[in-house]
Amino acid sequence: MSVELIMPKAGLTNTDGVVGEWKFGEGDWVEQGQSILEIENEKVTMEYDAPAAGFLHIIAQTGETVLVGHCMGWLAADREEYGMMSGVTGVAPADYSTADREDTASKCAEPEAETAGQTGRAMEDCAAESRSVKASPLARKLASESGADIGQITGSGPAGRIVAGDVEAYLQSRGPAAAVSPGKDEGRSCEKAGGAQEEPARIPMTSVRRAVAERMYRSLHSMAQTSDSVEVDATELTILRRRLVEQRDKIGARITLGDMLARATVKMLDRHPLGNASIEGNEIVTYPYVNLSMAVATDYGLTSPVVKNADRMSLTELSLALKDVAARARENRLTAEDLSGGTVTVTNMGIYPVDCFNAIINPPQSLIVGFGRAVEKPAVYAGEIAVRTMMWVSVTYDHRVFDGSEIGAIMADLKKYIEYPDLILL
Amino acid sequence: MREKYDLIVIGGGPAGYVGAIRAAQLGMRTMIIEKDRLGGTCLNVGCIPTKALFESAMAAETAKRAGLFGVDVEYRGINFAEISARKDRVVAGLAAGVKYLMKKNGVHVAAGSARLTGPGKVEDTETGAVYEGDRILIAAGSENALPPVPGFDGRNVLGSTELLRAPSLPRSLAVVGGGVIGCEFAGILRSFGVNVTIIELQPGILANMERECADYAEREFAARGVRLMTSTKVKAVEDGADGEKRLLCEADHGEEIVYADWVLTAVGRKARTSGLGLEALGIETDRGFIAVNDHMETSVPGIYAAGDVTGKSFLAHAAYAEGSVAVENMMGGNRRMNYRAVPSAVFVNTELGSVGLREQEARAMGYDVITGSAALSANGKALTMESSGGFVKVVSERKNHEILGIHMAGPAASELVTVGAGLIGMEALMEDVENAIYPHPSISEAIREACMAALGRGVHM
Repeated sequence: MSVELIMPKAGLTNTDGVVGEWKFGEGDWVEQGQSILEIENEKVTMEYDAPAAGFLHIIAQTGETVLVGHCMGWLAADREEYGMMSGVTGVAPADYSTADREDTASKCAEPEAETAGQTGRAMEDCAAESRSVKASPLARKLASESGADIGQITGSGPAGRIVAGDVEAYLQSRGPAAAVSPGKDEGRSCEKAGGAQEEPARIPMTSVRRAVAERMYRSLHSMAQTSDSVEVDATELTILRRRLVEQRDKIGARITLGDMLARATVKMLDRHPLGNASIEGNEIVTYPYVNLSMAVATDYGLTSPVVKNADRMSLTELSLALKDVAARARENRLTAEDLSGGTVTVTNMGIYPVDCFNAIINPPQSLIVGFGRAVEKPAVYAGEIAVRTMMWVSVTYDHRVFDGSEIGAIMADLKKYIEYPDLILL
Repeated sequence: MREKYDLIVIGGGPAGYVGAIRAAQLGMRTMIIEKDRLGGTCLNVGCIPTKALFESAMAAETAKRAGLFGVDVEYRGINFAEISARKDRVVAGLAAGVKYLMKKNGVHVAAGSARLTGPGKVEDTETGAVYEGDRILIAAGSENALPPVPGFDGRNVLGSTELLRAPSLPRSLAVVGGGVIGCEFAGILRSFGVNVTIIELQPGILANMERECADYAEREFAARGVRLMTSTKVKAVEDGADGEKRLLCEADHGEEIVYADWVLTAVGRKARTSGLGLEALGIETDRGFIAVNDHMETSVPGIYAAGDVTGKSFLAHAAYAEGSVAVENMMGGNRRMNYRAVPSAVFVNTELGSVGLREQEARAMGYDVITGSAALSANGKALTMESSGGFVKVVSERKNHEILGIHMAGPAASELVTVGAGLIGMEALMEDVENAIYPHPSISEAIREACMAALGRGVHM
């Protein structure tokens, strides 16, 4: 039986409360009696304890005001109920892992994936080979501005190139109402709806937005970027993580899946110095230290703070360092030192339903390692079909620095560290 | 004698011979019927001989200004017979080249005058031979159009064709028509020491070019002693004393008589369609030119037209493209001409280059126009060449920064305009130019500078 989490009445005159910090993440298992939430009202901040054990499904987000007696969330008695619950409200089906990754420093680099579209690179289809789209610069710009997926458009230009006229024809053919799901903003599709139309919204780009835009564009135009990806079995990783979380008091840190993936990346670089390198003129410079950039999405924009000397840290130290930079990033308290000197980047899309993707390299680095969501699915294990927690690892690299065989070796090592996660503890 | 072909091409000029080669490449059994010379106007009495004369003119100018570069040269004048002979050698070489290309590609060439006698049937009116073709490409070209003015009867005036065949030079020349052809001949003959007057109906010469290019040419003509009479109409041409010609002109300030040894008419070209039999087949025309759709097909299915005869563009390179496009469409392709990407190059001493929309054109089409210019006075290469009076102007639009037009005056403009043609053909944005690296020192840098100026980020301007 699932249990509803109701906003409590704090006093006779109390009519509502503000949801404060959820102490567990979406999909986390909580025990009865554990403090899972802070609630604020005009008088006091109070703790809210779980009325039962179950998988936490959050409805009211931090900062939301909820009337007394109304629903803030649910506790699902089992995974099946949780699945039904989260499916209905559209939240990504959760696993222990995704909740934890959201919880700590490794919030995903969503703008990178979007910007990949804006700069004209097609999103990689996991099931197919990656495909580059031939389109003129103007066509790409028109497609990205209108939100059209350039990969869907047929080109009528030379050798099938997509030209501006093709994008315009595509937008017109979509029409105002066709193929637009309910609730979506319809204002952006074709102009043939008839009748007077509203003016398009103009959002001035913030300096952070402009800087990110510039950097993304420049990155793609200054390197020979290409991506590889592999699906790995993260079951052992999630099991190890759960054990480490159980011991968090002794360890002194709440290790997340993102922390472990970052550590796996750092360890991999030990054997692959070209992944931790930059091109300077005609030389490839490999660094004797790993300054790990972690992509963090904040409400003022995308930023990649750096944890210096990550290769000298234990998993615990790395976890604490990542948590610290992420928190300071969100509070906009990063220093110039925090934002410089990165030699490799890790980006985590795990809290979203994203499997594999083409992250964009942070110049002047040569590699960016991306992790998709960890999701339970059928897989072959020990010769039989079993339910395993699977995850895609997507790596974008600068082909000027190294070639397919090197990246293949890199992927092999990442896969090993994830599938035999005890290795990252050493 | 009846012969059957997949394609019959009427006219062996740029549109015709290039179309024929493309057809042969696509496996079509092809023939060309040509009544004069392979290579058409361009090769024989147009672009090539004119540019050969132009290069001789530039050699003369270089000799005259060698002192600027510290080189001591005594300029003694030109040898027109040698200039003419050299021009003829260049033309003959290229004509032989086209003949060779026809043979190499297996295109049958018939010398004769073509007339369409029915769907898919072409008769050679000189020999009576009848040819049958699944497809027909009319590439009959154009000829000089005489203005409907008394005295212009083809006798005491010359068209460019006759001027190119003249064995000597006049002392003075009146050029009627200040368009590209008139201006190029004016510039060349001035370099050879001829006194030249240009008489133009419009308020300015080169009226179809971007204003700054036309202004540049006007200033240069003035500096070189070429007299420009604009907003002037020629009312009649008469014979004067001593073999001279008298042109009765009406200008803003009243009437004037212009005297010149020779008169060059360059007021326009008309389609060479008489005797082709268009009316009998119902092929529609538009102001005398053959009407074609955007696939280069005429109003009669299976019959295509390309080159000057369509009146779309009087440029050889457009004709090459039109001929190829027509043939590819015959074979099931779906190609269209992009006239906006057709460059033009004008050699009036300083070269002018232009591709795409002019500023006024772009505004008239509703674009929110932004422009950027770079003067060659700031360009290192131009300064080393003592040719820094020119410029590059970019026409773009505010929303997407699409490059709509590039116009320039200066050394090598005829080559550099190709950069613009490439950018426009690929729908490039100004940021694409910004991200490209141009060599230094070069005139071409001014193209990037002009784009940067339009973007508000000019460096050297």
